[in-house]
Amino acid sequence: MDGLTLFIQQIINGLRVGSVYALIALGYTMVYGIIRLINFAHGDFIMVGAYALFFTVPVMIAAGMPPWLSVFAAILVCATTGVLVEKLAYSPVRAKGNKMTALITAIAMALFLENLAQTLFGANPKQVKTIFDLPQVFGVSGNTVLTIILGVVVMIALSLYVKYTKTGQAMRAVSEDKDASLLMGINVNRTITITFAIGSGLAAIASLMYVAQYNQVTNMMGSMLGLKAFVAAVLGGIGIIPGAMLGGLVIGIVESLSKAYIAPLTGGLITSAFSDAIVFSILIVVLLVKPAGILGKNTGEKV
Amino acid sequence: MKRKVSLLIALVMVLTTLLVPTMANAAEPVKIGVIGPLSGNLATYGESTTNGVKLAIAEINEAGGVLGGRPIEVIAYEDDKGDSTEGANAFNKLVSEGAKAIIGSVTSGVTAGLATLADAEGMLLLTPTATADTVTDGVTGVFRACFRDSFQGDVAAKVAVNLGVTKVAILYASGDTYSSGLYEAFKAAAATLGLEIVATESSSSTADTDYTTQLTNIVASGAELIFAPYYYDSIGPYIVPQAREAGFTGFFVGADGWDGTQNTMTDDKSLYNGCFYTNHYAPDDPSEIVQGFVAKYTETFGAESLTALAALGYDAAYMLRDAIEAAGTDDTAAVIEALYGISFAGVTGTFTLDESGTPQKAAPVIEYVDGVAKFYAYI
Amino acid sequence: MDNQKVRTKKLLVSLVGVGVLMLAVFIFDSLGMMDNYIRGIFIQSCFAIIMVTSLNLVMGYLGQIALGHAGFMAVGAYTSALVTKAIGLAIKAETMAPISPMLQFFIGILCGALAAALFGLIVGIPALRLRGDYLAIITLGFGEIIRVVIQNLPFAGGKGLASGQAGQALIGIMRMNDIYVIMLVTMVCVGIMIAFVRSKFGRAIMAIRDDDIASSSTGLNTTYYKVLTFVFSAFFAGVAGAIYAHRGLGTLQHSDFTFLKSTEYVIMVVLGGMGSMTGAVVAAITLSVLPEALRAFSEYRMLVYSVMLILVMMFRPTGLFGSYEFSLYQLLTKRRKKAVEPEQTAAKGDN
Repeated sequence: MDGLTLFIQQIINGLRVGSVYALIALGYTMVYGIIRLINFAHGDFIMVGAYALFFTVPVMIAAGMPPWLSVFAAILVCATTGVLVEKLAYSPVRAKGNKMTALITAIAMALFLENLAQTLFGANPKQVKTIFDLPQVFGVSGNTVLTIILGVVVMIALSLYVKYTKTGQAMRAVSEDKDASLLMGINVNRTITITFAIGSGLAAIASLMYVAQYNQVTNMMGSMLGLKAFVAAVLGGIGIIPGAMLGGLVIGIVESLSKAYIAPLTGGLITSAFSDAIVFSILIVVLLVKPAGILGKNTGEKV
Repeated sequence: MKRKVSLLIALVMVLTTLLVPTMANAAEPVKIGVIGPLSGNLATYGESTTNGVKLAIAEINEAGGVLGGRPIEVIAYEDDKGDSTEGANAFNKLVSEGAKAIIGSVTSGVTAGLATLADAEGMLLLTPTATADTVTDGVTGVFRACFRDSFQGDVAAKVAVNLGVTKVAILYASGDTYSSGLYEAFKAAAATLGLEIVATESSSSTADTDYTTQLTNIVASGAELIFAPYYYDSIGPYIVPQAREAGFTGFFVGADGWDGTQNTMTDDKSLYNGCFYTNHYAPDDPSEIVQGFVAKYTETFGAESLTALAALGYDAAYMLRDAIEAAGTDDTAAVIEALYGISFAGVTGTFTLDESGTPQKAAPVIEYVDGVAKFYAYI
Repeated sequence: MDNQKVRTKKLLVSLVGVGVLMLAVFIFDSLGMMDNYIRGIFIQSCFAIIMVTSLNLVMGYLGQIALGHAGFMAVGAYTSALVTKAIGLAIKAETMAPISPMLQFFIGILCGALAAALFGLIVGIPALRLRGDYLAIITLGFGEIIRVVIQNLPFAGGKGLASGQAGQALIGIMRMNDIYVIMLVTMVCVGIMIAFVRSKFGRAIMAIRDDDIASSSTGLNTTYYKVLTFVFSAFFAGVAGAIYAHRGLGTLQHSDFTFLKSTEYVIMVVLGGMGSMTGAVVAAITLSVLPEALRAFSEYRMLVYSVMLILVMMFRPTGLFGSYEFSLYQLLTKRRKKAVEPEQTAAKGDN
């Protein structure tokens, strides 16, 4: 394998991870765009979806249906979880407290879901059956291609939804000015609930592609995944739908290239073991230099 | 029949815990403590290990206990959650409740802390499973039932030679005590055995999920074998399938952390052909003691948690019994004295403890054949 | 009312209170009621108190969430452990005059705390340009970076220093688990922090918390005060780390300082009350002792904490103690007078 082929291969490897980040970041950015809250529990919605798949995929196989159909069950479970989290915890806290209390609630919710899953399903990792059996496309794994395609479809659908439907317009209004929206007769709470349902439902699709790629479910899987997806969303410009997609892919590629080349470049001083640190450094640099992200403009349209 | 035996064992276990205190006058029990990660991310390890201990203690007490009829009483199976502070609390608690010896803990990180405490207080600490070299370094009264990592790394390198390869690659978790310890050991052994290390790749922790980038580099380096000291929960779903997808067709060699991979494999078991690992015992060993253990364990606790850790926990309890018998008393200092240099025959081999308290024993190499763990060779 | 005389009186009362507390511990100890188990939990409560009170400076008084406090603790722990190790080796090699372990420990604490403060400065200057959730996530990022760097330092693993090995747990650290020394260090730290929040610095940062723009328009250098508080907080996290490193296990793992550890301290601060030192101390002790007392159920600890946290956020967003402060002096002088507790806008955060 010559240098260039290897380089291209490493970029493809980056897409493999990045496409999953992108899919998760889409849901992240959606929720942040409306209520300006880092939903720490979003990564754990992925975990919830993955457990849903773990339990429903064998049922689908037993019924002789394609295993990916269980994604609909996962969407249902995730959307319900999302709405419940919003209704039972976020909404009452938001009504009373401030940004800080909301953020603490989100952290608490993440801890709650992780520990609840451990209590219910144990700490033992669970293996999910093969979901897709796809051929490689030009040397890229079928799963990755499908993840990117799904990501683009979701991205376009979301953009259109937000732009052209009534609810979508309401979402944009709420994100601009909650109080004014209320005065304009927009049902703010309902809009936020729908946002959560959609964002969490997207998490289920991300779960499907994650599980198809990595086969294993644990109660802690969402924690780091969610953080990286958040970094992706910030990098692309938080609240901007195409930005999340772009950010996810960029983070994946940066992660892959840094793992592949940082050790020889720095003479072994920094190794591939630093990749998480590098991702967080990107976050720090972006936040300090261009907090609006790659696609963000001060007057840019926010979800 | 099976059910009756397991009921019987369960009954004995219940009786020993319930009745023993009331019969204190007749035969005062020998109190010991057990520590392991019973909750948290490592709960599986703790479960297997303590199950092994439970099985052995029940058997020992059924056979009349120690020192002429005194039963062994486990004060408690304490939880350390894989955290050194929690482990220290469990240790201090057991000591204050009168434990004469402590079996634990499971991970090297927690055990290293307990070893310092045991050394300072003259307590006997017998870890079934902590393989890090440093655990028994410069402390007295600390023993283990398993071999150490440097030995394991050495055997792994010999497996590579045995398989006839010359170009090897290493993939390890640089932030993990276990993985990085094995990496150093393998590297040193490879140098003396004339193996060429063509690529060294690392991940920050054993919790990573994507190793494709590192594996692509390894494939590009032309390695014929990858030494991957990880645990079964990364080997099964991530590392082996991702390596095969990246085009790696050579061998894999791993260490005892691989044990249990058969439960975490993806659907295509043929991917795992050509995977070897060093273990503490071979479940398909036809010897009576191993098969007896496998049968009894499966009856009592089921097959899912039956790993090498369970075998080591089982052996650790028997080692302690032998030492108490040899000392002729349950006095901690005397038992420590007796345990140094003791010879022992158990599920995980026949061995003598060296002056550091570590067994000198052989490591069976296990091979995966279409998803089934098969004994390969003693190397 | 807060004239010189009253202040001296207050100080005296506090000192007497401290004396009584130490005496109580001494009596318990000499009666043989403290075994190693109790001592261990005592020490854990001590470093938890320092961690929680120092984090409270940032969360309660500065009104910002920092999710990387365990990172500073790690810096303090590793620096102090390596310093005492180096001193021990130097004494052994007779390149240095022998000094008492106590003095070694104090040098270790000081070095650890200063190193942590330095990192506080490095992190604080860029991070405090941001606010709210961005600050939270950036401190989380810094905390993880610190941890990853430590795990890759060859001299901070294995036997450490020259014979060290990256990735391994650091072993062979000096043991310093004298409960009186640790108790004294803890009290001094908490005392300094209380003095800090009651000083003009404390009033300044609370003013910034309540209204950033208004404070800066009155001529307060808000950045200076913010960074100062952050550095101060990191300094004490370093002290806590040093105690942690020498607590008697002789070993340190970088995985003791993950973002989950930071979150645990955040939980303690929030439950205790953002802006209440009393609350921070009570929460630190309670949440260190309770899991041990309920060992059988401690598997569900985090589940219970998270639910409690959500409930507190819903019904008492400022934490259980709010901004209430226990005062021995007040208790003694206003025995029968009902203390008037003004409704304070503590821990308001930014909007």
